[in-house]
Order: sequence, then structure tokens, then C-alpha cells
Amino acid sequence: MAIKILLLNKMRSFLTMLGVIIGVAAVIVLVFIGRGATENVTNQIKSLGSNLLSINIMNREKYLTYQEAMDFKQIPYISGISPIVSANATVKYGTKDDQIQVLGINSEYKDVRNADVSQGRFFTSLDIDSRNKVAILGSNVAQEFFGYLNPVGEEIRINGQNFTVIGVMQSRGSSIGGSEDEQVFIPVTVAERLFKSRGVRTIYVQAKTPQDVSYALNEISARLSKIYKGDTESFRVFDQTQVLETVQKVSNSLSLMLGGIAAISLLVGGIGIMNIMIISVMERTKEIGIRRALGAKKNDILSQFLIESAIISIIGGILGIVLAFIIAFALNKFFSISIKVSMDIVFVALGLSAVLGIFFGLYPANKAAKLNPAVALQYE
Amino acid sequence: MLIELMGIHKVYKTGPLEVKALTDINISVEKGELIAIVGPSGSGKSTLLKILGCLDIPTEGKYYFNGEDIFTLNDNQLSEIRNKYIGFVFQNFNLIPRLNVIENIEIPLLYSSSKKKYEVKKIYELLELVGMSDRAHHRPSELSGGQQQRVAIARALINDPYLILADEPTGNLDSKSAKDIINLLQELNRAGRTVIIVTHDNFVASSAPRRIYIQDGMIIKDEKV
Repeated sequence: MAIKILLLNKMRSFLTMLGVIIGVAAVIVLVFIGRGATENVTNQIKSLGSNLLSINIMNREKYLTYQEAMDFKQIPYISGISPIVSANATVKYGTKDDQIQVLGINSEYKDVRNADVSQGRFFTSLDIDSRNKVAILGSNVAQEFFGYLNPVGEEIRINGQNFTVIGVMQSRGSSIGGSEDEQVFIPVTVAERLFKSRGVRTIYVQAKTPQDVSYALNEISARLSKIYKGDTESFRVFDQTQVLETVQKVSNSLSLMLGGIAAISLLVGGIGIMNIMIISVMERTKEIGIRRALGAKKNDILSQFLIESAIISIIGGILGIVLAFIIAFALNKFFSISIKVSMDIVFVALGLSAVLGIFFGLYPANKAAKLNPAVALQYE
Repeated sequence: MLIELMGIHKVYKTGPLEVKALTDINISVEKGELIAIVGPSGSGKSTLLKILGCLDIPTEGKYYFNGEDIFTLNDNQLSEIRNKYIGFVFQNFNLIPRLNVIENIEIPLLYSSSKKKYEVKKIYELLELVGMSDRAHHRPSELSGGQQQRVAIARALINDPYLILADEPTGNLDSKSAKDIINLLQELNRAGRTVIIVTHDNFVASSAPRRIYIQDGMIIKDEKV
């Protein structure tokens, strides 16, 4: 019977629900987007490789040499080591030149960092050992200097020295830790000489299995401690899984916080329902009096109005869910915003809207129930 | 004895003003009586009707309905008494506009706490009785005043009450419909129901064998013809 009442005044019922519809839709869309972003970040980190550790050297006075870094390979838990020597350098081709970050890497970078060339070839251990003056360009750098021409085989100058381009890095877009697309890569042994003041400040390490990660981490920390004579401020060893977990936690918290803020609009929706129900009760004062005269108890009146507000709220919640899916998919399709559909938030939103209807309907329903029947009957 | 009112006083307080609506009312009603309570507007007859119908409580006095002391009962119990034993008929019919005839008549059934099974047959029997069978699915707005009042009477009868309380039942009707309604009430009384009609109309009053005249909140005459 409550449904009949709602149908009779479709416009008013709809306007009442509007707050709940918008609130529910906002909460769900924001959580979907937030979780989509989390998934994005997680995938980005995962795409960099698995079972990863990174070592950062903070000590300005003593860096590691390439050889010292490769000594870590003795640790049995490790399957690959990729030390990095990096610096900003002037890169020239023909009349074009630019300040670009140049990374000295070894051939293991390919496996450890899950990278590869889209054109040409990657560095071999021969390039590294022989200190060949060869270079791989990031995809945006290749485009900047060579347009759509094939850069492989061409000569560029880095800080005045000639290098032969042997390849172009696969494009990865910008991600955590800078963008390979904007960098130029040369053998680490060449970089050591070219950028004399720099040493190895970053080392990427890949453990053999996920279980080996913590063992590798402990061994590496022990060795570094020895090298730096116990000064643990000189270096940092990161476990990528921990980074991933932290990032996920932060991202999740952010998306829940976003949802929470959106929930405020739900609250407003609830207040809207309460206001309309108050008016509805007032308009139906006579009806309430009649029902009481016919034998309705206070509870009968209370539940009648409570059910009405609960239904309005729940229908609003359902419509909000539908709206949320439409908006989320539209954002995904037309604006390439990543979303992650999760049904748990849908059920939470549905439950919330039911509770909302009951909570905010309580005051008006109570008012209705408490009306004096004799007085109510005379209301015009 | 269905009804015993003893020493009923009702005083309304609106701010500092005190209005004495009823003063020392004493009435006894036996089952099966047909009574008209007659008085001009402002005489207190509506207040008396509300008290009789357990819709309001007096400031002083006792009310025994069907042997029960009404003023010892709580709100829920009073609601039950209204539902089971009293059928109201109002001057402006008081049907619920959004509901059709059948839905209006069934309302007291919905509030009934008795576990009796709900029978649609009963509703149709009553519609037959009041002569409204062919309008079962109409809305009140589609009915004339006389028709609405007949539906209201059917509604009042659905739970088979002891007492029919009619407040100016013909007040909003033309003379033909008014006669029909009065006849209907008399018929119900002949079938054994106690009927109390509150009215200011002497013609309506003359339809009842017992007339209680009320003025300024006091009974001035209680005569059986």
C-alpha cells in the first residue's frame, strides 16, 4: 500500500529521493574510481617486475662502484642485479640538443626491470664489459630528436662524446620512479667514466623467489652495513612488496575517504526525506485521525510512515546504484578514467539507504503516531 | 448496560482561558437503543461524542463501556475498543480519498488484532447491505455524498461493533439522501445494534425513540417517546 502512495505522487516521491539517488551514486562512483586508481598503481608497480628490492645509497661521500655492486651477485637468493649510475647530460643530434637524464645500466636491467626495446637491440654483457659507446633512447627522446625516422644506427653526442644508437626503449608512460620514455640509456661502465663524480647510487635487485626476498634483503643490509661501517643512515633497502602494500593501503584509504565525503551528501538526502515526511504527515493529519478512530494503534501509524520513508530511501538507493554504474562506465569509456567495480560497496550503499530511510523517517513517523486522534480528526 | 457515563466533566484550557465544554453529564445506554443527542452548535455534543467514542478523556468522571472502566485503559487498549466495538459515521464521511471503496471498508480489518481470517466475502455482503455493490472499485471522489456515507456505514460495520456513533450523519446530504441514511441507521438498530446519533436537526432527532437534549455543556432533557 505504501507503494501505491508513492506512485500516486510520482513527482514528489522522485524529488524526495533525489538526494539519496545522488548521494548513493556519488559514493559508489568515487569508490569505483578510487579503487580503479589503486589497481592502476598496483599494476604499474607489478609491471616493473616481481620479487624486487631496491637499494638507495644516501651517503654523498662514498658511492659504490659498479664492481662493488655486482659483488652482491654472490648472494645465493639473488637472480639479477641492475646497478644504475645516472646524471643529467647534454644530448645532441645534428642541430638539436637538450638536457636529458642519462642512465648507465647493465644488460640485467632488462630482466630485473621488465624492460625491453621496441626497435633495435638491448645491451649485451659484451657492451658492458667492452665499454662500448652505444645508447638506447627513451621513446619520447627518440621522437624528439628523430621524429618518425629510425634512430637505430645514428650517431648522437652525450656530453661531447659520440654514441651509436642501438635501440629505442618500449614506451611505458609515466610511472612510479620517473619515465623511461624521457631518458637515455648507456652502459653503466661507460657512465662511470663519463660521469666521474657519480657512482652507483641506485641498485635494483631481483630475488629468485618471493620467499627469498626477505633473506636477500637481510644479506644485502648486512653487507652494506659492513661497507659503511655500521652507519645505517648511509643506505636504504626497499622491499617492493612492502612498497606495494603501503601504496595499496594509502590508495585504499584515500578512496574510502572520498567515499566518506560523498556520504555527506547521503546525509543531506536523508534530511530531505525527513523534511518531506514531516510535510506528508502534516498533510495527512486528518487521515491519521480517521485511522486512529477506526482502531489504529500508535504503532500502526508509526510503522505505516516508517515503511513509506524506508521504501522511498531504498528505491532511491537502487536508482542511485543504477546511476552510479552508468556514470562509472561513461567515465571509463569516454574519459578513460579507470574504474574497478566492486559489489561490496553496492551492498553497503543499499543497506545505508535503508538505514537512512528508517533513521530519518523516525522523527516524522513518531510525530504522526503521537497525534491526538480527536484533534487530528478536526484538522482541515 | 452498554454505556454508563457518570459525572462527566470536560474542561478545555487554551492558555489562560478555560472553556467548560461538558458539565456533570450522566447517561446510561442499554444495548439495542436508538438515541439522538440533540443540541445547537457549541452545545458540547461533539465533545460528548468524542468521549463516548473513546477518542478523548474527560477532566472528571467515569465511563463504563461494556462493563469496562474506560479511563483505566491505555492507548493501545482504547484503540482496540474503537476497532472492535465502535463504528464511527462522520458528517463529512471521512473516507480516505486515495483508496477505493473496498480499500476504505477494509481498513478496520487491517487494524484488527483478532486472528480471524480476512474474508472479502464480508466486505461484499456489507456493500450489498448498504446498496453499494456496483461501486466497489470507485474512489470517493467519484461518489455522491449519500453514496460516500453509505460506504462509511459499511466501513463502520465491518468489525461487527456493538455501537454505531454517528456525528451529524446527514449534515452534508440532500434531503433524499438524508432520509435514506436515517432509514439505514434505523434498520441497523432494528437488527440489534445500538445507535447513537448526534445532531442539531430536529427531523433527524425525531427518528429516534429516545432524545437527549444538551445545551451549554449540560443535559436539559432526556426523554423517551
